[in-house]
Amino acid sequence: MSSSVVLKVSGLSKYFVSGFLWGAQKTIAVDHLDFSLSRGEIFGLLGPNGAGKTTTLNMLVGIMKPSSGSIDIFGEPFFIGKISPLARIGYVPESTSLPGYFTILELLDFYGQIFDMPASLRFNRIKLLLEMVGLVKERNCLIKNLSMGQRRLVDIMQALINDPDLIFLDEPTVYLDPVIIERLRSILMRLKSEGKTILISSHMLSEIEKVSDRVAIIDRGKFAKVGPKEDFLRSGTMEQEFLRIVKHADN
Amino acid sequence: MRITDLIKELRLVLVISRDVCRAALKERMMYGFLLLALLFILMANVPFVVKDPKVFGPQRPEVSALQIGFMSINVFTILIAIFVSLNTLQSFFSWERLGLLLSKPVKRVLILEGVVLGLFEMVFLNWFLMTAGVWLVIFSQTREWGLYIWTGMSVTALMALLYVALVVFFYCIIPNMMAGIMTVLLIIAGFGVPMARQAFSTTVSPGFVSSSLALGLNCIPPINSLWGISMQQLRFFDLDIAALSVIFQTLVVIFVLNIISVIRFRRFCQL
Repeated sequence: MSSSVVLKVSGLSKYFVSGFLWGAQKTIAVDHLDFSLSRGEIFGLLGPNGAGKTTTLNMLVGIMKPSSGSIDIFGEPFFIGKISPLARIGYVPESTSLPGYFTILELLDFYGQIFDMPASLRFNRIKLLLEMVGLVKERNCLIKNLSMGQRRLVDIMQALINDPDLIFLDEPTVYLDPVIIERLRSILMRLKSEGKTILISSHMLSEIEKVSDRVAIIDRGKFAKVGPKEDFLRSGTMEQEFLRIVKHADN
Repeated sequence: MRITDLIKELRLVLVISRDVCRAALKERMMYGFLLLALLFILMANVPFVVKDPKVFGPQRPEVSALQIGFMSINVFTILIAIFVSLNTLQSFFSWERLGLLLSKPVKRVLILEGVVLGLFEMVFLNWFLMTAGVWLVIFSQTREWGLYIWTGMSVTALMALLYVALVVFFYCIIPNMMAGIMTVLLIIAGFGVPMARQAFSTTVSPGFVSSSLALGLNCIPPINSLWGISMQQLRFFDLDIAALSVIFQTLVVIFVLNIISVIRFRRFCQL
């Protein structure tokens, strides 16, 4: 494996079984995905609802156990219960229920302590992140008093508290207005310039088009198309290509 | 495991427990129960005012006051330990919140231990406030330090830990309100253990059956005996209970419940 490969996924599958014995039904959520991410790359994961994007990300961060396949992170096999790679991973879930009784500062401090960061490092990191996302004034506000967009930014801050090398973002633009989306875009470009590897799953095709180096379209658990961004833009916009591929798969 | 790793893990448990305790202290239900408990405890003043032996019997007024306080603390400790813990578990173990924590470098066992410790901190705080209330009432009326009140009531704190361990145990198996109902049922069963033991001791049953029954009864938390120890310490009655063996049995039950909860929690976290 090349040293620049940060994440390597081989034959990753997940199926759910419902029912019992003869009535058991197997639903395939993710079906033999193979891909790898190099250092400093932004990889866009596109797909319609229920395509398997969130399930894939849940397996990559160790929340969900894959039914089959392997995941290598930072050149080492990764599985549920192996916590050392998680210290270098940041994860923004699709939907969070951040505890409303925390202020932004307290929440970030809590996650900083979870990463066993010394107090001085936590303080500096929190200060940097607050400036990065533009929530310095709101730092002492309770989470429950923030707007949905601001909460999303807090989600992003908690994912970056440990200065991760590999970042997974699941629908990060949900609830965000165009101004904050623009800010998020500049944050992503800054992280990319720092050599961070980012996997971003989104419905916002225009955002993926703007920030990604490589794109994959996932449909019914399988990759319908994977390649450099330019491959998706040859015959028009990302949206046109996405609709063409998904409709073709439906037929 | 190295000492530094152990310290790091203990620190993580404390961080999580602080968060859980804080979440529990945000439950309005807890303040409702605590307020009611303190109102009942205030009623412990009544035996000092109404000194009629027809109402409270021939015993000294501080004993009657302690009995009121003892009942209030025990009833409200059960309610707080079960229902506030259950509410806290429901919010803390929500898929989004737990999922985010699982994506961090924390072992699952540490998450669960942090949760148990956090809930116990909350219940302990409530127990402390209620016991302090009873002690204040007695102290204000008798001007005696009455340290035996604290030692007697401390058994209730151990029972609170047992209730929390039970709720967490059942929640890891049935993650809904049923966990609370199961806990209540088991506590009721715990009260009936001595009666059951006495009933079965009079019947002649095959060795296997009687040994299985004995094992089953030993696995049920000895709530009745714990109450007995508490009453003994509070000088209500002169009971003959082997306090150390009952406390040891309770600690073993809590430990075993915790082990099973950890095993179940690993499955609980995996989809």
